[in-house]
This record gives sequence, structure tokens and C-alpha cells, in this order.
Amino acid sequence: MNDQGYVMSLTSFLLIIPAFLLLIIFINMSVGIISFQEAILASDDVVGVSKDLESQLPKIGQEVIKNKSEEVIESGNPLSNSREVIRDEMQDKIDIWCLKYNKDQINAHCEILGVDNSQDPFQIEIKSRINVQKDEIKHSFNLIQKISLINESFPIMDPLPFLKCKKHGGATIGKDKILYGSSLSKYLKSSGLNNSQAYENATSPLYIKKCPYDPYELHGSTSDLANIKNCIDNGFYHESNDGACFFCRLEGHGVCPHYGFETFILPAPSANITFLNNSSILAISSIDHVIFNETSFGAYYGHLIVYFYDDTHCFHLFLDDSHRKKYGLPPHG
Amino acid sequence: MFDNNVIEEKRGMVFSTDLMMALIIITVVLGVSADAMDNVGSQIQDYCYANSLDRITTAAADMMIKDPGEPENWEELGNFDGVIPGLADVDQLNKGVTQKTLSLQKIKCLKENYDELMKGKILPPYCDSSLTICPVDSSIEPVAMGKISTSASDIIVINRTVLCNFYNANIIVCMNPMKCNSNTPQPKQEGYICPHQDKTGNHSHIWVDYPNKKSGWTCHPFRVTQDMLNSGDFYLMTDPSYVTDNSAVWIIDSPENITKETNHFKNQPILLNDVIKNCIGNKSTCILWLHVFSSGTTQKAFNTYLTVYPKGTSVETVKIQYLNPQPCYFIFKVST
Repeated sequence: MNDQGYVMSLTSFLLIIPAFLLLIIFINMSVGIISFQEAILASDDVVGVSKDLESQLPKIGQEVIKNKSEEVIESGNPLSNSREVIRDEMQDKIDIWCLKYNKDQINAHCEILGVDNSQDPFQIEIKSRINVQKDEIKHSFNLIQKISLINESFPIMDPLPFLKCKKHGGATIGKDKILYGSSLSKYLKSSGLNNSQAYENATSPLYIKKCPYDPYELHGSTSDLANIKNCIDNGFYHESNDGACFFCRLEGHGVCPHYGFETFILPAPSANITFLNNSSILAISSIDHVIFNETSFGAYYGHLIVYFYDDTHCFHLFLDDSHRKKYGLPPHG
Repeated sequence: MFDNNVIEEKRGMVFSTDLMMALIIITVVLGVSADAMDNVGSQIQDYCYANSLDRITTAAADMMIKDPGEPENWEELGNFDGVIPGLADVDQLNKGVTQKTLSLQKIKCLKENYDELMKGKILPPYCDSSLTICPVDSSIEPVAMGKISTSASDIIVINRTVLCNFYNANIIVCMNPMKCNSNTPQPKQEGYICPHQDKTGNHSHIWVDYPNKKSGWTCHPFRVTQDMLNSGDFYLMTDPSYVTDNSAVWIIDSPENITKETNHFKNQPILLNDVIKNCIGNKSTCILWLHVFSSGTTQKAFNTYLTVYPKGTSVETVKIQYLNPQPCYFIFKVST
């Protein structure tokens, strides 16, 4: 080294290069760790949003079914393709819900692939595909969910009677019951069926509820028919191969090829006590898919059966032998 | 400075002492930085390695807690070929319960066949593991399975809180009268119409009305079979256990044999086998009704549960807090 020390200055210049190299390496590592952490956070966000959507879909579905059913009842107009209509309405609602994630730079999209019957007629099945993306993280999965029609917090009304009786005066809503007034007997008369006046002032249940008296033979298992009286008082629905499913009810069909449900349509209690002894009176069978049957051979008659009588009135139904057997009731004769 | 020396110096300095020393310093610095890079590289490798075992353990724990397994009823099959085990309870999953619930039957089946089910299916064959499910409530015994060697170099431990139904209680009827009476504006279905009626056929068990503080009944049907009576014990329980409502009574009857005989609640679970046996008689299956009368006062409101426990369950374990799945710690240890 001389007095001016120029060698060291060159060396110190050369020293800077490895120092820079080290600095670059460490900065790279820390940036790498930071982006790794960011990816984890983004991934957590994406999973959270997809779980959110998964839990929101059934709630939206429940609302849509309830609203559509009420709309159909109020307007009296059947839906042309109930599955498509419900699917589209659910799609609109979930699209609006997905928009709220945009402010967090999360791109969420749920595509409702289809809405259809489930194995349980009191449930409907929704197939959907959920796609969520944030930055580079994507999550996509298919989902099949079931929505119950018998949820107590979202009671669903049966639209079929309102659609069928609209042209004949319309049915009205009483407390938990559908009141037909004269509309049902006019409907039966216009279909060319005998003894349509038996259904003057008939009633049927308003909300869809599942019958607990399962197996159904329990309805008639007691001599005083207490079980079937209680079932009728509560207005329960029963699983039935011939009964219309919920989608077909929205379309105004009384029967359909899908596994559906049925309920009793009750003639008004009679003040005529001679009914008690006259079980040969015939009228169309008091089951909704028989009364609202669209084909001429699908409507069949049943004999009178009294399930309760008090001092003044006689509570009765008309049931054919096959339904009597289904509900464990004694056959006619 | 530079110029003067170049002009004045006539001998060319190719290799001087100071250059040599400078080169030594440069070499030392380069060597240190190369070593540092090597260190960093091996640290990254260690980190990835630790992370990979960590990741395997986390993934295995996630799979066991969140997945019911493939097929879902794998614990009932005798043969475990092609089975992927999982501990999540299918019923709770289907109900949409968000908190992860484990099924006791699956845990027991995993305990009996631990090595066969874990190695190669959930964890790689070179990993040893142990699993302990330890209830928060210390009166319930924990379930432990598997073994890890204590001399292993890396042990990853995962501790999660999950739910598990230790007592296999089945709630047949759950009455929450306050919920039925909530003041929601939408039309709600009010409760069941029970078979109790007066002479004109009108429903005589008027529903309790909490918003208007009117006393009344809450009634609920339930199905009983002879099999259930033979294999289970029926208990009637309230929440809170001590019912402050003095007018609260209960009835269990069938639609064909309606009784007006009421029973009071005791401050402990009530065994109902005899009552139900009387109601069902010889029938193989029957629908019975549980009727509960309450005063309609919000402060004295209580929930009622009709539950079935496996036959022979001791009365001490029949408690409200054990009806629902209990929280427990899922402690999973993995080592290589």
C-alpha cells in the first residue's frame, strides 16, 4: 500500500460485488417467503368464500321455492317449466350474492347446473358448480345439495288446488287450510263426474307436511280410527307413486311420472247423521291426485267412510279399496 | 495521484504485495459468500423437508377429520381392501353441521385396525403415527391408538378441537317451545295437533303462547318399535335439569288410548321404558305422542328431550351435555 492507498480502493470496489450478491440473495429469499405467505392467505380466502357459497345455496333455494309457490298461488297461472324457472331464479340470486366478493378481488361464480326431484319426494336436489379465484389461486368443485320442502321455518304451500280451481271460482286460504267453496264441485261437474256436490265446501291442507304415521297402515290400525283422524286434522302429506311431485304441482299437473306425494281432500262435515249408516254412497275418491287427474280413466270412485262423529256432525271421506289398503282401513263391504 | 505514479515509475507492477493482500481479502469474501449461499440452500432444503412432513401430517389430519371415508360406511365392512378411512360422521355432515363431528364407531374401528388402515392409505409407509381423542370433559375416557418411537428425529404434532358423540344417544323428540313462538312475521306452522280432543272433536291441547304469556301444551309424535324397546333405554330429559315451572307436566300416550293422567318432571332424567311398554302393548310399531304443559312464562321456559340410549347405559352418563356431540382434542403425532 502506498500513501494514496489506491489498491484498497480498487479492492473495496471489488468487495462491493459479493456484498451486493449476498444482498440480492437474501432479498430474493425474503420476497419468496412473503409471496408464499400471500399465496397461503389467498388460498384461505378462496376456501372461505367457497364454503360460504356452499352454505348459502340451500338458503337461497328455500327462499326461491317458497316465493315461487306463493307467486303461482296468487297469480293462478302455472309455470311452464318449473325446473327451469326455479333454476334461473336461483342463478340470478346467487349471481347477486357473488358480486359482493368482488371488492376483495375475489372472483366467485356459482353455476346452477340443474334443479330436479330427489329420491325423497319431500326434498329437491340442486346440482351446481362453484368456481372461486383470487390472484393465481383457483378452486372449482361440483356440489349436489338437497333442500327440504317440509322445513318448519320455511313452510311451503301446495299450489296445485289453486291452479286447478282457478277457472271455477278459485280456492281461498283459510287458517292452515285451503277452502274450496263451490269451486271444487264445479270443477268435478265440468269433468263429467257424478256426485260432485259431495265436495261442496271441501277443504284440504295448505302447507306441505310429512306424515309421521309411517308405515301408513298405522292410520287404520285402531278401531276408532283415531290415527287417521289425527292425520287429517294435521293435514299431513303422504309419499305416493301416483301423486304429483312438487315441480309438477307448480306446473298444474295432478299426476306425473315422478315419485310424489298425496293428501286427503276433505268433503265438508255433514249434519246428516244417516251418513253413518250409509256406506254405499259413492263419490270420487278423496285423494288429490284422483280428484285433479287429467285423464278420464284416472278418476275413480270410492265409498263413504266415516272417521269421526260428534253430536252434530259426521266427518267422512270417500276412499277406494286400493287407498283403503294403503292406509290400513277396512275395505268397503 | 494515479498519473504521477505511472509517469514516475518505470518498473511495471504486475504483482505487488498489496495486490496480493487485496486478492486474499477478495478470496475470503467470495468464499464466505459461497458458503453462505450453500448454507441458505441447505436451510431451504431443511425447511422444505420439515414442511413436507408437516404437510403430510396436516393433510392426513384434515382427511381424517373432514372426510367420512370411501365408502362412507367403511367401518361396517369386514374387509379393508380399497377402503380409504375417514372419521367424519356422515349424519352430521348431511345435516349441514359446520363444526367437524367424528363418529365413535369409525374411531373404534380405526383403533382395532390402526396399522392396516393408516400406513399406505393415509400416511406413507415410512411414517409412524399415533392418535389420541381426548374429551374436554375429563370424566369421559379418552381413546388412544397407534405408537410412535420416542427416539425419532422429527415428530410433528397436530392438535385440533372437534366434536364427537361418545354416548351414542339418539334424540327422538326435541321440543323447544320458545323457538316455536318466535315473533317472526312470516306465516309459520305452529306445532302438531295432537289427538287430545273434546267432545266436538276440537283440539283440546291448546298450544302454549310465550309472547302472550299464555300457558298451554306442546305436543310431538314419535315412532316406537319393539326392537327399540328391547335394545334401548328411553329417557325424558329437560334443559335446564331443574324445572322451575311448577305447573309443568308431561303425558305420553297413543291416539287410541288417550290419557289425561299427567306426570311431573323430576330434577333428573326419567326412565320411560315402562310407560312406553304400556302404550305400545303387543304392536310391533306404534306412533306415540309426548305432550308437555308449560306456563308460558319466558323465565321458566325449558326444552324437553326424549332420548334413546343403548340398553344398560348407566344413569350417571345420561346428561343433557352428553346429548349433543361433545368437544374433544384430536391429537395426532407423526414421525419418520
